[in-house]
Amino acid sequence: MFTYADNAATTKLSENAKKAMLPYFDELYANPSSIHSAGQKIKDDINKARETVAEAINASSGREITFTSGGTESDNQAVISAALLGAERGKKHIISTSFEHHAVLHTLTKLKKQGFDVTLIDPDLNGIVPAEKISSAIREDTALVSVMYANNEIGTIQPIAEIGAVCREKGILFHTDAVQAAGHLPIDVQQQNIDLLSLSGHKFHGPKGSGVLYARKGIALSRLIEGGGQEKNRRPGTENVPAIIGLAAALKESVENIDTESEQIRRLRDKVISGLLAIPDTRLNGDPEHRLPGNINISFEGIDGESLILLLDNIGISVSNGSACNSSSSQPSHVLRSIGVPQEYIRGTLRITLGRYNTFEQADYIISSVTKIVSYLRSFSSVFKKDGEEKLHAV
Amino acid sequence: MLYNDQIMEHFLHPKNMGAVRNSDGIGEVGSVHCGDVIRLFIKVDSGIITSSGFEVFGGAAAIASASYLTEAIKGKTLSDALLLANSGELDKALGGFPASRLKSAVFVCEALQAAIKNYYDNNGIGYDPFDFAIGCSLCDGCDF
Repeated sequence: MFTYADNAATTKLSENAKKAMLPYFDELYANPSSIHSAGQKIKDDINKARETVAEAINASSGREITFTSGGTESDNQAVISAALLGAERGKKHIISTSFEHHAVLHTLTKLKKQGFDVTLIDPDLNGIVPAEKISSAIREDTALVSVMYANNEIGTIQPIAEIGAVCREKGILFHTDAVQAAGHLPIDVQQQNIDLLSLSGHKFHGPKGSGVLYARKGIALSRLIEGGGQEKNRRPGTENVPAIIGLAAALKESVENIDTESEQIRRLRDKVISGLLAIPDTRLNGDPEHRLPGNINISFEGIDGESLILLLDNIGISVSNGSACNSSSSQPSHVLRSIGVPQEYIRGTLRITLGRYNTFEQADYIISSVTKIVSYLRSFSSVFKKDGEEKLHAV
Repeated sequence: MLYNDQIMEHFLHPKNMGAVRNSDGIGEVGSVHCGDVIRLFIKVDSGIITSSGFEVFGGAAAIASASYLTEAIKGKTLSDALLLANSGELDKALGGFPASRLKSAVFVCEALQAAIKNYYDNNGIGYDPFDFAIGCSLCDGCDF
């Protein structure tokens, strides 16, 4: 049974989003910067999409929405813009967490080389960064706090509204990478005190190559590349019109159905979690309650995750071993290390992420397949202790 | 695909998994810190390997390599098996490994060397220590 359970890596394009996009591959091809009516029609449609996105996250207006190529670009632009705004006022300290997505972490590494001071806060062992930890790291010269809404590997939900309130009180910009959260958790940029927010279309059944950067009114974004005046001078280059339209349609659909859909996905998730925790010497990584509805990050002692993933793939189950961007490297995930997953478990980690199109039959299939394969791999593991046997642990 | 068909075939249908009872030589190589731990077992009769098995903590490259090598050394003399471990034939026979997984194949060859060395040591047989270049030879270092 083909079972796609890697929805944190990407999701299937929704039928509604696809339908909304199709005309823009076809007769609606004019350039939105052209002054003829064909072009102006496209411009109007983009602005409608902007209003749709603004409404979905409770932005005060579409003017606060910039369309980008995806979550990575949005994260880069948000962090760099806030850093430069801080530097103009002599503030060059940035606070973030050690388990952000690389789009944030690597941008911070670059800024560090340019003279910024970066403090990375470790999450607690449950995979959550308490607001107090952020609060106590704030200094006179702090320009930006960037904390993800939900972690991409372990799915843990961060107290962003509280962190936002702390930042707002101290007059520090607050960015959140909401790439994994959008469509699954409520987003209200006003109520949650968010200044900058990143979204990626393909994580909520929109198209790849589409993203959003929300910047609260009055926050000047710096361009990452130079060119024309598109997106109010914030993002040059002719707009990816079908992607923008598709993103807005997908976000609207996800947000409208968020309660029922999240509840259904959560039920599937909890079924799979309890099924898999019945396997001996298994641990769930990250807080069991405060986690994304679809996220299961689970480690099995004494086996290698790659073998498990490839054997599951062989019977039609697509899952991941951490973040998809990392699959070519054999380094253990920085996220699992940051929450202290023990060495004998860390390599035997699966990330199963369920979504809108998964079924109860698929959940059962995942449980029975993983159970069988874990036991098979353990039967000839060089480090897993079988009954009554002492395994020598290699140094 | 990360792996070619030959590797996937051995990975999906491995041979000789598990410990060999009353084995005459055991070689263990690797570390849980950098990923793979291979334990390779040989049974020897009159200088000839009669059976072999393996236990592994590792990915497809490790399992496929161990499956191939434990099969290839059956019926071979210890010195021929040692030559095989040092020859690079494993890489050729399995059609080449992705660079990031080459270490796993090297570990398996080193586990065979270690098993033969263990047999020699157990039986008081002399050898040239340079035939046993065991160590994390291709590894670019653990970052732990």
